[in-house]
Amino acid sequence: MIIIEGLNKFYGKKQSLKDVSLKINAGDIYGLLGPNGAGKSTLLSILALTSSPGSGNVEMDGIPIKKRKQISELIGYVPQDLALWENLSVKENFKFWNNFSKTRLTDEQLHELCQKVKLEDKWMVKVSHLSGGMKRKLNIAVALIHNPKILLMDEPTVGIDLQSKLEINHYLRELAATGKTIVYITHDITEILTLCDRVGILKEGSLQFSGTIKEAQQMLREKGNILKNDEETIYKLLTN
Amino acid sequence: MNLGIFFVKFMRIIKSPFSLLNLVVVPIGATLGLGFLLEKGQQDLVIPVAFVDEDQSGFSETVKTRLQNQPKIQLYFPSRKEAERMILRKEVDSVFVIKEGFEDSLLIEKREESVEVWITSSSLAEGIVRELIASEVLRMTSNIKAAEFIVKHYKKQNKSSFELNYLWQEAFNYSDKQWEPAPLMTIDYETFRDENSVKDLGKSTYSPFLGLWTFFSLFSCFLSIGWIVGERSLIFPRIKSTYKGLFSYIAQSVGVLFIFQCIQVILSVFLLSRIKAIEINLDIIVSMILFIFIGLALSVLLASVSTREKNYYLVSSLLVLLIGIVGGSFFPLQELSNKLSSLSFLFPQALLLDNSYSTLTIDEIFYISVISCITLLAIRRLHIK
Repeated sequence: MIIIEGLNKFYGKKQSLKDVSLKINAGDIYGLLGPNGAGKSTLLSILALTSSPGSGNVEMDGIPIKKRKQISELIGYVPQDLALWENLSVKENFKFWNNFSKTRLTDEQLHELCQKVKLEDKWMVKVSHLSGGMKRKLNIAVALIHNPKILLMDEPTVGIDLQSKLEINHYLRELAATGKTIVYITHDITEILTLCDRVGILKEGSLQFSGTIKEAQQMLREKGNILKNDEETIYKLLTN
Repeated sequence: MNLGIFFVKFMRIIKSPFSLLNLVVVPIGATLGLGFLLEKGQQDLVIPVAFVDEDQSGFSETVKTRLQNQPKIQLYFPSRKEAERMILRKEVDSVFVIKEGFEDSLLIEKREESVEVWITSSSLAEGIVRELIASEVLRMTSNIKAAEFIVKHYKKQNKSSFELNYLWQEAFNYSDKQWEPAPLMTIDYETFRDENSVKDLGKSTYSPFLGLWTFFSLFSCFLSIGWIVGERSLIFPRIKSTYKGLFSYIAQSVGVLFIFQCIQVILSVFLLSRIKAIEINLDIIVSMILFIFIGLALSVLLASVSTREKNYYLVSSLLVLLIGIVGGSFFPLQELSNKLSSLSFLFPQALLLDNSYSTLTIDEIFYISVISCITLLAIRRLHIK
């Protein structure tokens, strides 16, 4: 479980996050939505330890975020850009990232992980020779080497073909079913509707809504909005 | 302590010809190649010096002849007025005037103010020529002293003045021969003739090898750290979220580069000692390793404030060139500027080029400490940002 209370973050004079409070349940796929510059990536980077939090409290599985070593064992971070060494093979990338964990996997275990993302036949292939979709799968797989409880993903399927996207989404659902919490930034409405259990809407650094799509529909209808479908619900959440 | 990152990085360098070239081959090869070229150029270099002989005596003629035999000096023989014009137009490096009465002064063993020296702010050879003339004057006065001593002894035997003149000349010539093949055949002289002695190698000319080594090694350090800027936006964010973290990654990766640079140092010391540019001893090896440490620290520092790889390489090239010039990699600093020379402790070359590498000064320890602290802060800055 992730608990965020009164989180603020400034970049110079600009406030990127304004008093954000939310709770993400264990095993949920939580979609973080919002227009560009809303603070989604800032929030994710704080959870991923790549940015320092300003004021406020953040806890993951009851551990405060200041305990970086313990938190780092809990999380797996999939940045939007491919964090891979292009001139190394898939195997070498797995082995290199393996060195960053507290407990290291054997080559066989790494190969099993590679099989799970369907890249086993590319084991010895250089990353620079992989397709965009394969690189994205590898980008996700290396974040799972230390078997984290929480997966933080910043647009992990951006710019890839539909088949790879569906494969990745299927794999993420499998991961969530094993109890992993996934925080997921995306602009893809289909992914939001098919993948996410709950969503959080950020606008100009403030959290506008956090809950399920049904809860969002109920809230909007209570405010007098007429909603034809789920897509319109998301649209209304983003624009209101 | 888990050194997995260290070993993976080590193997990656071993497998990368470009990295090996940059870390080991280029600093050594470029130092030797350019060093030999510069040394050859130095050997071909002659310094124009004007010699004004107002005494026109046998002694002044002797000084003139001996100066003419010096390989590094192009001697001109103008009048006093012409010499004035020549030095004002910087056609000559310095002017030496043998004043009238030079021989007479020496004969009465009075050496003071018998030679005038004119120099400009850019004179290079004045010190060398002054020393040469001083040694000639010393040689003559010693010869005269010896001859006078012999004549004084024979005067007691009532020799004729013709015989005494002959004896004087014989004694003078005999004494003069004692200065061949080089002046002052003393115990020190024997030391200078020792073929293993480094002091003998320079023969008062500047050896460019160590200076060039500092330049190319520093360049190699900066070039080898470029990956920090390259990986900063893509790889570093994920590394920051891992258990090992960014500090461990940078420390182990830079540690690997340091090891390769140390191998480069050992090879350089071996090769430079083979060509007698330096003497193998532990002090110089330690100083060279400290220089590499500072070079890598400065590189990490620059990489931590650079956002684009191209900018980093451009700025680091300029910075290395600047440090090379003002730190004395190419010229002896004291001949370039006294002020720069007194500030030389600020530049990493000071560890090697001021010939004091056998002792680590407080200034140098302070300098190394400051650089180390700033580098650690720079890595921390990379971690937090």
